[in-house]
Amino acid sequence: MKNNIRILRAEKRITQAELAEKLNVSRQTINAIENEKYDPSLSLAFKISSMFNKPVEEIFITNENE
Amino acid sequence: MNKDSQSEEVTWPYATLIMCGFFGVDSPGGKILATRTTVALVIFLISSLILPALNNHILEILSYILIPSSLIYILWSYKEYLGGLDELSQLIQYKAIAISYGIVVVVGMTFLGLEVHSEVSLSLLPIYILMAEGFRGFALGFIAKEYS
Repeated sequence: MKNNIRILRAEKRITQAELAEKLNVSRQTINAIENEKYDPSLSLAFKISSMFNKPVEEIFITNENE
Repeated sequence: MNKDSQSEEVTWPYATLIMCGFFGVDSPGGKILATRTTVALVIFLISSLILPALNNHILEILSYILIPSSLIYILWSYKEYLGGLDELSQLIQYKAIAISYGIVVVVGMTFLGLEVHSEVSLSLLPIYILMAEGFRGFALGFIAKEYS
């Protein structure tokens, strides 16, 4: 599953470490999600969505939505 | 742009994962796990090596209580540590446990099968646990690499 967290993070000018701290996950987890190596749980996806004030489907793009 | 928000990369603590089987003392609950495990191992070593050698009946009974208690304490500490990790770290740990202990179950069953036709005892449980922990360390390293 693709995502645009890296772009949104850049827009908000926050680092991986800062985002990880806000979401209460490790920096490696944020890195793995950004690199599309790991799909987050629904709970974490909604937290990310809330953090960037964007709907989940705007942040995470499944192959069907491409 | 703030700092390195676009290009920053971070890796897992591979050496700690392989050698110690956890994400290091800087991970959530890592320091507590290290302290608890060290205390439990010291109690385990004293109970299994020193107390029985003192030839005192009460100390011998005490060692029978302390040996399993210290091992149970390590398991409980590890369970608490897993509960404090984030979802990806937990996933890596669970996968490593499944792979390493799965391999050891297969090896153990094979040795037990061979033992039927052998005069040498191959069912050495402590060795299997050490083997599983060794495998778990390497499994952690390999699995973590998939997520970097």
